[in-house]
Amino acid sequence: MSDMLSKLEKVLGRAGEVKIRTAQVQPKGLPPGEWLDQGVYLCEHSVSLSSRHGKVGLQNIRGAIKTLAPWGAAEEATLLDVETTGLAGGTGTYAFMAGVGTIQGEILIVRQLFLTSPQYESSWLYHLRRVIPEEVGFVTYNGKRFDIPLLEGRFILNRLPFPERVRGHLDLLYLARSFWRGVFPSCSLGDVERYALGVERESQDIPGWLIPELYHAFLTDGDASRLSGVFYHNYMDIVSLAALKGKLASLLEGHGKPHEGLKAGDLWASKGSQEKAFALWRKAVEEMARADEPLKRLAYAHKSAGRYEEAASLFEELLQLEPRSIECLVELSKVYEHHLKDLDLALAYARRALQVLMELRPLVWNFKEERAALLHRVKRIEEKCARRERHKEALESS
Amino acid sequence: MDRKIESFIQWIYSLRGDIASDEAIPAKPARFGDWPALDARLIEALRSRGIERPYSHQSDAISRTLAGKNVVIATPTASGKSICYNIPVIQSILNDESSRALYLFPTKALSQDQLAELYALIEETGVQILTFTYDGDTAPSARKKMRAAGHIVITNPDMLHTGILPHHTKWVKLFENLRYVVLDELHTYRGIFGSHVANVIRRLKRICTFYGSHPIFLCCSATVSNPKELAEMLIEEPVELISDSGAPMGEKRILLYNPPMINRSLGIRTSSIFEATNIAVEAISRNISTITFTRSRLDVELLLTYIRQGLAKRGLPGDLVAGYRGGYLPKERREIERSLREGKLLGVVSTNALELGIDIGSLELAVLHGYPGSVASAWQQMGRAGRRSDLSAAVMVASSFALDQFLAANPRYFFGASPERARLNPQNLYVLANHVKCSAFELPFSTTERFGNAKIDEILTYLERQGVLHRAGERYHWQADSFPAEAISLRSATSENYVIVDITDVAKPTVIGEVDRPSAPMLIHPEAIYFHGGKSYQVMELDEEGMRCYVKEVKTDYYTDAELAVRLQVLDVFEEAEGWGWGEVLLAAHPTIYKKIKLATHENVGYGHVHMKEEQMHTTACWFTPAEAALSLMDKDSQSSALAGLAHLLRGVAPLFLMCDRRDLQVHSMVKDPFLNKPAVYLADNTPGGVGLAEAAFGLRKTLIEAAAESVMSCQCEKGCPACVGALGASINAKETARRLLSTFEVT
Repeated sequence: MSDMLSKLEKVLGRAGEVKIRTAQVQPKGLPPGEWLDQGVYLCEHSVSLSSRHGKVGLQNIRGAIKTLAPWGAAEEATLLDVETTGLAGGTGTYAFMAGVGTIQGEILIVRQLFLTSPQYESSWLYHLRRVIPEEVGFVTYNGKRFDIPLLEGRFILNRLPFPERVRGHLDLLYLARSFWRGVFPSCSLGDVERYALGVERESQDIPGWLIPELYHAFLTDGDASRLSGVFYHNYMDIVSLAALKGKLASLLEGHGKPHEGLKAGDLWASKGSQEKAFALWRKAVEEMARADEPLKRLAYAHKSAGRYEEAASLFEELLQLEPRSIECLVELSKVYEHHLKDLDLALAYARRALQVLMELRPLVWNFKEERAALLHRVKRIEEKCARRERHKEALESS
Repeated sequence: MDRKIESFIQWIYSLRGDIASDEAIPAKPARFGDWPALDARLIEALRSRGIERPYSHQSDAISRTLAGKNVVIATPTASGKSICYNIPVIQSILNDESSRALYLFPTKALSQDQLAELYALIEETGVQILTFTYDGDTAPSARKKMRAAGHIVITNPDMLHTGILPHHTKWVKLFENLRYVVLDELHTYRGIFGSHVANVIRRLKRICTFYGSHPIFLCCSATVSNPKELAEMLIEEPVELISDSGAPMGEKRILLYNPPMINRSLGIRTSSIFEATNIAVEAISRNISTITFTRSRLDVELLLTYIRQGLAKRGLPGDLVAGYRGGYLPKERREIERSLREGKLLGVVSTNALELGIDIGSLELAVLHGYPGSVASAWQQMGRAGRRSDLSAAVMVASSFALDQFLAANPRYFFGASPERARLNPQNLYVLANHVKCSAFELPFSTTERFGNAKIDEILTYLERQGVLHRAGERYHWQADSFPAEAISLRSATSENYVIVDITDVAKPTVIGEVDRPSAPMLIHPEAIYFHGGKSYQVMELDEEGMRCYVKEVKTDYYTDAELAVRLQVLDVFEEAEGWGWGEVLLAAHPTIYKKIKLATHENVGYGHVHMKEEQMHTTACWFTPAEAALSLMDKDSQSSALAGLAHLLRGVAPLFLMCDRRDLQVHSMVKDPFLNKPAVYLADNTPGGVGLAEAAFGLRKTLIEAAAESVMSCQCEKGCPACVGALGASINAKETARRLLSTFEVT
């Protein structure tokens, strides 16, 4: 052991037993495919769009573009998912496999571009650019935060241009979270796939956190057979992306479960499509066992659109479900006081709200402030009523 | 002309303490130069800021920078150093819109200050030059714009290390067009911090080379004897020195005041904190703007309270004075700085937090409560008082620490000797290897590549064997799933910290602080009393595996002081001469007992045993063994007391000559050293791997012994006191034995 090495071990700990590969080894045990260049290997798969993935058919992926356009979907949809040497981010992490899915006719083509050593990265990136259509609409899962910035960094490091004409980027994670946060154990692609698509992966699949370690082991001895699980994992990710895209589009069109319809309404509302949102929320009111959530959304939406009659009747409907909702009572009081000009009703709702507040006292953390606000409201309406009475009397006496 | 400073100095002479020295630094008139060829808009902007002509050092610095030279500007506080770098930077951007600059300041507060000054100048030019501070407080939404469009990015070395360099692909515009790198407060980049920063700069330069830029470095430093060497060690390129200031200076008086002796035989003087209070109160009542420096945060609070009480007794409002230290909120600090500039505050009490170039205008008087630990710091602090034309003064009040008393007795060491050297060791293996890791993460290394001046092929091989790097072809690629910069702190040698968890409320444990691992045996051993935020806590449990320390808040009237059993093992001897040597050592320590010491009286009121694992550190040390003849005349007890006394003397004086903090050095004595098989005294570098203090001590061995001799001779106590051979000195008669031992050294 050299003098320097022994010092290093004293300062930084034992060097460990990682074997150092001195000579270049030709990788063995790769799945069927072809060499595009030194160090760049391509595996290609075709999946018919008429087949099913789990419980979901793939045929909906086409029409999905129109529905999903507000969330970034574009023509030349390209499904993309990369496998990397880590999740740490920064310039020290690189991708060694990119799965790229494109649609040709009735077929989903999955191309897996594999990098056999970091020294050929530049050439790998060159071929990746050729696999990706010139005008591209990316479809990814968390690609906005992970896959795309990582690839951009790698292109910069290799002084190569990143695809410039990106028409859109649909990150399905955002939509998946909107629908299933709190519903599924997590919104990882694995869980979403299992619970939303009904896909069970085969035993050869390996968990994502093991991938960097397996690739490192491959780099030291060139045995790619241990990576078969990684190829499978990446392939499944791409097919799941395709299926999930179709599934999410159909949910947005209102073909999901009642609670999904509610969320679909929310999503459309957030993109300013009130019509679609209303329709979905109304449907949810009919379908959901407890319709308070969609009712509330509809009521507020009508109120802010200036349709006070409808808003009032929806709040009243909501009150049937939740007779002790202070929020609802206050909203009704407001609508009747300011817009529908029925002071007696406004006063009745305000007083009822105060009464409920007193009953719920121990549960309301900002009880004092709430009470002061309600007292103020009641007093104001009472004064208005009194003024109205005086006015009436004045009219009568004159 | 007002004579208030002169009459104030006369008042100091009327005090009962000793004026150990009184030096006058004569006034200096301004010397001007000319602007080099600059953009007309810039000249106009300077004019409207009231700057007609540059001082000679400013014009010199700007011309050399514009000619493509790296420069280091080492002129006194408030000589207008920031002009020297702001002008070339703005000029380059006016010339070429794509040009970029990176400013590095050691602390966040300084960046804020600079931003304000830069904004003002840029606004006057009427050109849109985008300037941003990039640090932990920067909003994520602002970061994107900054990366793409910021002309001037202001940050600190820590943020460069963890936030910018590892993400350099997001900063392409900056690195492709980087013209200038500004390193202000260069003198703070010394010791372990400097060694880290030198390596961060190696990484920065590697990335610049990758993107095809070759920035010019503009450095500014306060007083050190080797600014050029320091700059060249940090950037590993030739640097031109500019040290002849053209800025005018009023006359300045510097007094060294030693509190009156109250017990000559025990060497006890009145408390320096009361004397410093007295002086500050008198000055403020005379309407003299005063800054008082002290060493610890606790002392800031004490001094502030005492000064306010003193003012109240004279019927003056307490809010004429404010405290200023780390731990105050940035907003409070800005407010204090402004009030000082505007004259709303007459006094401020501060730790060295205000030593750096924060703009508070110039004050009339600086009071130093105790020697701050290094000559450079002392000059920095005294430089806080200083005016362009009128007389100003600085008074250093000596405390009972050994070094303070040594300087009071031998002021020529302070005034006569040149300021010390700033040292760093970029080759410190721990630091170097860790930054090679970070750099490999940023860009692959080729097998023959150097890292700055360092040859690193063996480090690369080591990292490959650790599985962190993978060699493919002629390059090493980062292969681990980790982010190495996050695991390395630039501010200490080891990033391992104990987390202090307050379990006073068992249901709600809260993290209240951190203690670095080497300090743990002293500060947070089981049952230790730990002070934090003005509260006292007792250590309930120390989890050495999980690096957690559980504490509970307690009310106590005592603090704890642990005694360490130290083991030193020489691993490799690098050089030997005249009974001295230096080399690599293993320094191991574990606490054995702790004493409970009463807060008010410093009485020993009990003790307890401590069981902790031994803390080990590889570092460098310098040692010496006294001649056989010298010791043969002494019995065993005398030998032991002589060595302990000598160790204490060296502990006191060595930091002055090695330009380091007291905590940077450990001094130990052994009656029978197992390696040398003789009595020995060790001076060990208290940083893993060492930053060069041991080698320096070896080189300065004669000076150190002379200073130790002088220290013990000039001390006025009888048998030994804390200021010379240590608090226990009197009981073991160490003064006499140490003197006898010292007299046996050949003094030339």
